[in-house]
Amino acid sequence: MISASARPTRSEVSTALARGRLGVPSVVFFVIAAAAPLTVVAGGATTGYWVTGSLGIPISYLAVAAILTLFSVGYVAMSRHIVNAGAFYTYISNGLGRVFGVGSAVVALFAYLAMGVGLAGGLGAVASSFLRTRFGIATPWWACALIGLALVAILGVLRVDINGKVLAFLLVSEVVIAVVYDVVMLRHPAGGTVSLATLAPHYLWSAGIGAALVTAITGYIGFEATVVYSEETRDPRKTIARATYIAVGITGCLYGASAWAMSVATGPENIVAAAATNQTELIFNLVSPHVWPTLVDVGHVLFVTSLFAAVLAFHNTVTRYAFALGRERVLPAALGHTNPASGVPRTASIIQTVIAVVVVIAYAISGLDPLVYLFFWISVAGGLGVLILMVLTSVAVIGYFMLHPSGENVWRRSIAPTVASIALLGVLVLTVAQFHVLLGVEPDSAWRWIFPGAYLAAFAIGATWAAILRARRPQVYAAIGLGAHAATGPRAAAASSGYVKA
Amino acid sequence: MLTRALLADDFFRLAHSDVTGRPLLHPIALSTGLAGALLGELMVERFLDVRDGVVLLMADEDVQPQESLARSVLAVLRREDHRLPTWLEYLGQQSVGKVAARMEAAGHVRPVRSRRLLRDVVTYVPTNQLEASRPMSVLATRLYARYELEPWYGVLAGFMRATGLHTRVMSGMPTESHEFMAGLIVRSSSPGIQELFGHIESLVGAAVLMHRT
Repeated sequence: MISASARPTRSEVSTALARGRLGVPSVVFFVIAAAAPLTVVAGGATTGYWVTGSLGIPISYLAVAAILTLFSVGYVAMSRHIVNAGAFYTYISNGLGRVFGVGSAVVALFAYLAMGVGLAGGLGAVASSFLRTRFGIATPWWACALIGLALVAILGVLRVDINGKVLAFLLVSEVVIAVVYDVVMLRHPAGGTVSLATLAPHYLWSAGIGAALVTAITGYIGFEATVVYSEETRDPRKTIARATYIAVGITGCLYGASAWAMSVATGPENIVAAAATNQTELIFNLVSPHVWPTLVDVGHVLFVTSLFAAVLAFHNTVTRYAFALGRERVLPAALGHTNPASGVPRTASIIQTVIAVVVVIAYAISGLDPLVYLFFWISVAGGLGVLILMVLTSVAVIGYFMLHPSGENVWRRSIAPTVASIALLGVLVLTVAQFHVLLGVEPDSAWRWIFPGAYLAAFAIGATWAAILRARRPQVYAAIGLGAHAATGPRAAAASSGYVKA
Repeated sequence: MLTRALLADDFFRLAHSDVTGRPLLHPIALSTGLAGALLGELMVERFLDVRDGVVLLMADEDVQPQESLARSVLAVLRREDHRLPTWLEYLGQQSVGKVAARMEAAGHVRPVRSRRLLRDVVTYVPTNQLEASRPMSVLATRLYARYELEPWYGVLAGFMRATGLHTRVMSGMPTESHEFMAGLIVRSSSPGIQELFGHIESLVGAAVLMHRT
């Protein structure tokens, strides 16, 4: 019998664990840092206007923010009930079955790889241009890209964490600079009046809106990572939900406002031409007559660091995905191995770097413009992949909650996910139908079908592999979706039955 | 004088360089592994068992372990009721410091304070390099030769694998050695201890996924 004096009034364990927990601001910060806002504002929005020729860019950012907020309702609700919540394929495995799950995992690997490589191309192009115009140093874009990839690889392998405070400082600076530029642009509108033209909802029905929408979606990729931190938060139920909505909200307002402000500064009828002429320099050229040169320089530097941070973030995402799949034995187990001293999944990290380097070199040899054909084409192709994943995840949420209501209310279980699924599916259909606009090619070009087709093939490969696993290695099949927790899943239980009592 | 080594002490030795005392594992793997080893000490002595993620108290209230750190761990386990992952996380917060203190008190290590990268760091330098290298050299040579090992080393190998340390110890060894190790771990460890290994591996993997190693 435990004496009264030995029983604590509060759990010392819970108190001790609560101290290390993350709050809403930390999670919001981690996620927005990975989304690299200045990259989207200075790079994504400008190339979006230029390549798609659509004026619906600002309204697309706002519309996508609204859709993602709806999507997040079911997404976050389901994250409370499954492990390894950080990957879309987990949701799809749990809601639509493991065959769909593995198919999605392969799609995800392609999509995030594409994002990382595309951004590396952007980093190379922007850094090289900055060095040339500001310092007169001539370096080819691919050299800058390869240096960036090498730095990412070194940071990844050494597990040198870019100090959280440094990241925080850079992120806050990015947001501040973007807001300052927006204010400057709005105070110097072309023609003297601030036009709300590009915020008009009718653009949502215009030609080429699919291209604008998927460009917008690409800017938000990374918001889905909030759920990775659910085990580390103080109040998993509320913290993750709030952090997700805040992250989408802040980035949505920033992207929409910046894209709109640019069109105000050039005049709506000129924005596409201005974007084509100035490319990623557009925002800097628009503000530089009105601000100190130092502020423009700072903006340029932050643009480069933002791109670098984005490349690093996607490198880590692909590495994590491959690690989780390696742990599950869906992919070769070697991918699930880490360097014990650093905790870095080194095999996955190295493979990802090698692929990126090969792609950069291929583009360098081809002589194609890296801003259009690597940065824009490939990163938006990545956006298409993530859009496919989100459609599947949204439907999976509905499927999961039909089987396991889990105490969630009907808004979270079914109404919000259903509306989000319909909206996301609509965006997907528009995107695929207008993919040629996105790429800036003729409607009869083969390229408009190659990217969507590649994802279909990737999905088919994954789904086939899952079916093979189900037949040949059922224990591995049963562990799909558990990620790192595969160690406590059915495979582990089956293996433990060989104990010889001493 | 040959006293029976403590499981967590041996894992500590395994996870640190026998020359410099620097850790060979990243912080989460080290602290979780040590936390698991402390639980393992109690499990080997039949004070605890683990089943389906739940920690079961096996001995009467008045029966206490001989060793003082084990006593304090068991005391907190008897006071509160939590699932195994929670216990691993809680005990992991202080496992490194407490095991190091125990080893220092027994004269196995001495703390050396230094400054690295603008932070104060304590390194636990072994006082007897031969003893410090024993777990690693026994495991490495016997696993390579696939020579049978006592259950003690089988359980230690389990902690080694669950924390990922085996990739370093077993690097370059043929597949047969890996298979032998897997079989040895299963033969030496009760189902409860094997479950403990699984949870340690899960937590370490989850930390990698969260990029918070």
